Amino acid sequence: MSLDGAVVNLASWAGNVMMPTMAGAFFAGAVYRYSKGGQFEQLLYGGFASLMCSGILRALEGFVQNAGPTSADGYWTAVMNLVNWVANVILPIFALTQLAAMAMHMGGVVSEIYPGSTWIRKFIAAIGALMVSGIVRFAESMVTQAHGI
Amino acid sequence: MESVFKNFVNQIIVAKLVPVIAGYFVLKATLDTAAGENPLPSIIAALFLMTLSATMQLFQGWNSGGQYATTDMLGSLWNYIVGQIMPAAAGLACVGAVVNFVRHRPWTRLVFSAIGFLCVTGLLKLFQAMAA
Repeated sequence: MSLDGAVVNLASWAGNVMMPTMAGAFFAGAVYRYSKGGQFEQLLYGGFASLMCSGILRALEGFVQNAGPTSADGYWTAVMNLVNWVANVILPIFALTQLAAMAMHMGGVVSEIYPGSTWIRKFIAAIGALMVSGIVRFAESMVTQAHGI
Repeated sequence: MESVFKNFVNQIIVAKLVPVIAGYFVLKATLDTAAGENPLPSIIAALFLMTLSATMQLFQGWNSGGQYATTDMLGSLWNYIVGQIMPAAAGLACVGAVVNFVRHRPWTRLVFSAIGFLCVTGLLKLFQAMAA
Protein backbone atom coordinates (compact mmCIF):
# COMPACT_ATOMS: atom_id res chain seq x y z
CA MET A 1 0.00 0.00 0.00
CA SER A 2 1.38 3.38 -1.01
CA LEU A 3 1.16 6.57 1.04
CA ASP A 4 -1.42 8.15 -1.26
CA GLY A 5 -3.59 5.04 -1.04
CA ALA A 6 -3.31 5.10 2.74
CA VAL A 7 -4.31 8.78 2.92
CA VAL A 8 -7.24 8.14 0.52
CA ASN A 9 -8.33 5.23 2.74
CA LEU A 10 -8.03 7.47 5.81
CA ALA A 11 -10.21 10.16 4.19
CA SER A 12 -12.68 7.52 2.98
CA TRP A 13 -12.89 5.94 6.44
CA ALA A 14 -13.40 9.31 8.10
CA GLY A 15 -15.94 10.56 5.56
CA ASN A 16 -17.85 7.40 4.71
CA VAL A 17 -17.65 5.30 7.87
CA MET A 18 -17.17 7.49 10.93
CA MET A 19 -19.11 10.61 9.97
CA PRO A 20 -22.36 8.83 8.96
CA THR A 21 -22.15 7.02 12.29
CA MET A 22 -21.54 10.27 14.15
CA ALA A 23 -24.64 11.70 12.42
CA GLY A 24 -26.73 9.62 14.82
CA ALA A 25 -24.87 11.12 17.78
CA PHE A 26 -25.37 14.63 16.38
CA PHE A 27 -29.12 14.07 15.92
CA ALA A 28 -29.36 12.66 19.45
CA GLY A 29 -27.49 15.72 20.76
CA ALA A 30 -29.84 17.97 18.82
CA VAL A 31 -32.89 16.36 20.45
CA TYR A 32 -31.33 16.77 23.91
CA ARG A 33 -30.37 20.39 23.28
CA TYR A 34 -33.88 21.10 21.97
CA SER A 35 -35.39 19.61 25.12
CA LYS A 36 -33.34 22.04 27.20
CA GLY A 37 -34.35 25.00 25.04
CA GLY A 38 -30.78 25.49 23.81
CA GLN A 39 -29.40 26.00 20.31
CA PHE A 40 -29.81 22.74 18.47
CA GLU A 41 -29.59 23.88 14.83
CA GLN A 42 -25.81 23.42 14.64
CA LEU A 43 -26.08 19.76 15.65
CA LEU A 44 -29.08 19.19 13.36
CA TYR A 45 -27.36 20.66 10.30
CA GLY A 46 -24.12 18.95 11.35
CA GLY A 47 -25.95 15.61 11.32
CA PHE A 48 -27.05 16.20 7.74
CA ALA A 49 -23.59 17.40 6.76
CA SER A 50 -22.04 14.29 8.33
CA LEU A 51 -24.11 12.17 5.96
CA MET A 52 -22.98 14.29 3.03
CA CYS A 53 -19.18 14.48 3.43
CA SER A 54 -18.65 12.68 0.12
CA GLY A 55 -21.28 14.83 -1.52
CA ILE A 56 -19.65 18.03 -0.25
CA LEU A 57 -16.29 16.88 -1.66
CA ARG A 58 -17.93 15.93 -4.98
CA ALA A 59 -19.54 19.39 -5.09
CA LEU A 60 -16.19 21.11 -4.49
CA GLU A 61 -14.57 18.84 -7.11
CA GLY A 62 -17.35 19.84 -9.49
CA PHE A 63 -16.65 23.53 -8.87
CA VAL A 64 -12.93 23.01 -9.49
CA GLN A 65 -13.55 20.75 -12.51
CA ASN A 66 -15.77 23.39 -14.12
CA ALA A 67 -13.04 25.94 -13.52
CA GLY A 68 -10.27 23.80 -15.01
CA PRO A 69 -8.04 22.75 -12.10
CA THR A 70 -4.80 23.54 -13.90
CA SER A 71 -5.91 26.94 -15.14
CA ALA A 72 -4.44 30.07 -13.57
CA ASP A 73 -8.00 31.28 -12.95
CA GLY A 74 -8.99 27.91 -11.51
CA TYR A 75 -9.24 28.97 -7.86
CA TRP A 76 -11.08 32.18 -8.65
CA THR A 77 -13.56 30.42 -10.95
CA ALA A 78 -14.07 27.64 -8.40
CA VAL A 79 -14.83 30.17 -5.65
CA MET A 80 -17.15 32.01 -8.06
CA ASN A 81 -18.95 28.71 -8.76
CA LEU A 82 -19.29 28.24 -5.01
CA VAL A 83 -20.73 31.75 -4.60
CA ASN A 84 -23.12 31.16 -7.53
CA TRP A 85 -24.23 27.90 -5.97
CA VAL A 86 -24.87 29.53 -2.61
CA ALA A 87 -26.70 32.47 -4.18
CA ASN A 88 -28.74 30.54 -6.76
CA VAL A 89 -29.35 27.17 -5.11
CA ILE A 90 -29.08 27.53 -1.34
CA LEU A 91 -30.65 30.97 -0.91
CA PRO A 92 -33.84 30.14 -2.91
CA ILE A 93 -34.35 27.14 -0.61
CA PHE A 94 -33.71 29.42 2.37
CA ALA A 95 -36.32 31.78 0.93
CA LEU A 96 -38.83 28.92 0.88
CA THR A 97 -38.15 28.20 4.55
CA GLN A 98 -38.66 31.88 5.34
CA LEU A 99 -41.96 31.89 3.44
CA ALA A 100 -43.04 28.79 5.37
CA ALA A 101 -42.11 30.54 8.62
CA MET A 102 -44.08 33.58 7.49
CA ALA A 103 -47.14 31.43 6.79
CA MET A 104 -46.83 29.84 10.23
CA HIS A 105 -46.58 33.26 11.87
CA MET A 106 -49.63 34.44 9.94
CA GLY A 107 -51.50 31.33 11.07
CA GLY A 108 -50.82 32.24 14.66
CA VAL A 109 -48.48 29.35 15.33
CA VAL A 110 -46.09 31.57 17.26
CA SER A 111 -48.64 33.84 18.95
CA GLU A 112 -51.53 31.50 19.79
CA ILE A 113 -49.80 28.10 19.65
CA TYR A 114 -46.30 28.83 20.89
CA PRO A 115 -43.91 25.96 19.99
CA GLY A 116 -41.41 27.35 22.48
CA SER A 117 -43.80 26.57 25.33
CA THR A 118 -42.18 24.20 27.74
CA TRP A 119 -44.83 21.48 27.52
CA ILE A 120 -44.82 21.48 23.70
CA ARG A 121 -41.02 21.47 23.65
CA LYS A 122 -40.87 18.58 26.11
CA PHE A 123 -43.47 16.65 24.11
CA ILE A 124 -41.61 17.16 20.82
CA ALA A 125 -38.30 16.26 22.52
CA ALA A 126 -39.84 13.04 23.87
CA ILE A 127 -41.13 12.14 20.41
CA GLY A 128 -37.72 13.00 18.92
CA ALA A 129 -35.88 10.98 21.55
CA LEU A 130 -38.03 7.96 20.72
CA MET A 131 -37.31 8.22 17.01
CA VAL A 132 -33.66 9.21 16.64
CA SER A 133 -33.06 6.08 14.54
CA GLY A 134 -36.01 7.07 12.38
CA ILE A 135 -34.61 10.60 12.02
CA VAL A 136 -31.23 9.18 10.91
CA ARG A 137 -32.89 6.81 8.43
CA PHE A 138 -35.04 9.68 7.15
CA ALA A 139 -31.98 11.91 6.75
CA GLU A 140 -30.09 9.06 5.06
CA SER A 141 -32.92 8.52 2.59
CA MET A 142 -33.02 12.24 1.82
CA VAL A 143 -29.26 12.33 1.26
CA THR A 144 -29.34 9.11 -0.79
CA GLN A 145 -32.06 10.40 -3.07
CA ALA A 146 -30.41 13.78 -3.50
CA HIS A 147 -28.84 14.49 -6.85
CA GLY A 148 -25.27 15.72 -7.19
CA ILE A 149 -24.24 18.71 -9.17
CA MET B 1 29.94 -4.07 3.33
CA GLU B 2 27.16 -2.74 1.12
CA SER B 3 25.10 -5.90 1.49
CA VAL B 4 25.58 -5.82 5.26
CA PHE B 5 24.32 -2.25 5.39
CA LYS B 6 21.38 -3.10 3.10
CA ASN B 7 20.49 -6.06 5.29
CA PHE B 8 20.68 -3.84 8.38
CA VAL B 9 18.34 -1.29 6.80
CA ASN B 10 15.87 -3.84 5.42
CA GLN B 11 15.84 -6.41 8.21
CA ILE B 12 16.36 -4.22 11.27
CA ILE B 13 15.19 -0.70 10.50
CA VAL B 14 12.41 -1.24 7.92
CA ALA B 15 11.14 -4.61 9.12
CA LYS B 16 11.47 -4.20 12.90
CA LEU B 17 12.06 -0.61 13.99
CA VAL B 18 9.71 1.30 11.65
CA PRO B 19 6.52 -0.64 12.64
CA VAL B 20 7.31 0.05 16.30
CA ILE B 21 7.75 3.77 15.62
CA ALA B 22 4.49 3.71 13.60
CA GLY B 23 2.80 2.12 16.60
CA TYR B 24 4.20 4.90 18.78
CA PHE B 25 2.61 7.48 16.48
CA VAL B 26 -0.73 5.65 16.64
CA LEU B 27 -0.47 5.77 20.44
CA LYS B 28 0.48 9.45 20.24
CA ALA B 29 -2.57 10.13 18.03
CA THR B 30 -4.87 8.66 20.69
CA LEU B 31 -3.11 10.64 23.43
CA ASP B 32 -3.31 13.82 21.34
CA THR B 33 -7.04 13.28 20.91
CA ALA B 34 -7.45 12.71 24.64
CA ALA B 35 -5.58 15.95 25.31
CA GLY B 36 -7.87 17.84 22.93
CA GLU B 37 -5.19 18.32 20.28
CA ASN B 38 -5.23 17.50 16.60
CA PRO B 39 -4.27 13.83 16.01
CA LEU B 40 -3.92 14.20 12.23
CA PRO B 41 -0.14 14.87 12.11
CA SER B 42 0.53 11.73 14.15
CA ILE B 43 -1.86 9.69 11.98
CA ILE B 44 -0.17 10.91 8.77
CA ALA B 45 3.26 10.12 10.26
CA ALA B 46 2.09 6.62 11.20
CA LEU B 47 0.68 6.02 7.71
CA PHE B 48 3.91 7.28 6.15
CA LEU B 49 5.98 4.88 8.25
CA MET B 50 3.65 1.97 7.56
CA THR B 51 3.95 2.58 3.81
CA LEU B 52 7.68 3.26 3.91
CA SER B 53 8.71 0.31 1.72
CA ALA B 54 6.25 1.18 -1.05
CA THR B 55 7.18 4.86 -0.81
CA MET B 56 10.88 4.00 -1.11
CA GLN B 57 10.19 1.92 -4.23
CA LEU B 58 8.12 4.76 -5.62
CA PHE B 59 10.93 7.25 -5.04
CA GLN B 60 13.48 4.87 -6.58
CA GLY B 61 11.27 4.61 -9.65
CA TRP B 62 11.48 8.38 -10.07
CA ASN B 63 15.27 8.38 -10.06
CA SER B 64 16.33 8.78 -13.67
CA GLY B 65 20.00 8.31 -12.73
CA GLY B 66 21.03 11.13 -15.04
CA GLN B 67 22.54 14.53 -14.39
CA TYR B 68 19.04 15.95 -13.74
CA ALA B 69 18.07 13.21 -11.31
CA THR B 70 17.59 15.65 -8.42
CA THR B 71 15.26 17.95 -10.32
CA ASP B 72 13.49 14.95 -11.83
CA MET B 73 12.91 13.62 -8.32
CA LEU B 74 11.62 16.98 -7.08
CA GLY B 75 9.36 17.35 -10.11
CA SER B 76 7.93 13.87 -9.61
CA LEU B 77 7.51 14.55 -5.90
CA TRP B 78 5.59 17.75 -6.72
CA ASN B 79 3.32 15.88 -9.15
CA TYR B 80 2.77 13.11 -6.59
CA ILE B 81 1.84 15.49 -3.80
CA VAL B 82 -0.36 17.71 -5.97
CA GLY B 83 -2.00 14.92 -7.96
CA GLN B 84 -2.37 12.16 -5.38
CA ILE B 85 -2.05 13.48 -1.84
CA MET B 86 -3.80 16.85 -2.04
CA PRO B 87 -7.14 15.56 -3.44
CA ALA B 88 -7.27 13.13 -0.51
CA ALA B 89 -6.39 16.02 1.81
CA ALA B 90 -9.38 17.88 0.33
CA GLY B 91 -11.59 15.02 1.52
CA LEU B 92 -10.12 15.28 5.00
CA ALA B 93 -10.68 19.04 4.92
CA CYS B 94 -14.38 18.46 4.14
CA VAL B 95 -14.65 16.11 7.12
CA GLY B 96 -12.84 18.68 9.28
CA ALA B 97 -15.19 21.43 8.10
CA VAL B 98 -18.24 19.40 9.18
CA VAL B 99 -16.67 18.56 12.56
CA ASN B 100 -15.71 22.20 13.15
CA PHE B 101 -19.21 23.34 12.15
CA VAL B 102 -20.76 21.09 14.78
CA ARG B 103 -18.24 22.21 17.41
CA HIS B 104 -18.83 25.94 16.74
CA ARG B 105 -15.28 26.39 15.45
CA PRO B 106 -14.11 28.15 12.27
CA TRP B 107 -15.03 25.92 9.34
CA THR B 108 -15.23 28.13 6.23
CA ARG B 109 -11.45 28.28 5.92
CA LEU B 110 -11.40 24.49 5.59
CA VAL B 111 -13.90 24.67 2.70
CA PHE B 112 -11.74 27.23 0.88
CA SER B 113 -8.65 25.16 1.74
CA ALA B 114 -10.31 22.11 0.17
CA ILE B 115 -10.90 24.08 -3.02
CA GLY B 116 -7.26 25.19 -2.89
CA PHE B 117 -6.09 21.59 -2.37
CA LEU B 118 -7.99 20.56 -5.49
CA CYS B 119 -6.40 23.20 -7.70
CA VAL B 120 -2.83 23.62 -6.44
CA THR B 121 -1.49 23.47 -10.00
CA GLY B 122 -3.83 26.29 -10.97
CA LEU B 123 -2.60 28.36 -8.02
CA LEU B 124 1.01 27.74 -9.10
CA LYS B 125 0.17 28.98 -12.59
CA LEU B 126 -1.62 31.97 -11.08
CA PHE B 127 1.44 32.95 -9.06
CA GLN B 128 3.67 32.34 -12.09
CA ALA B 129 1.44 34.72 -14.05
CA MET B 130 1.68 37.27 -11.23
CA ALA B 131 5.46 37.00 -11.18
CA ALA B 132 5.79 37.24 -14.97
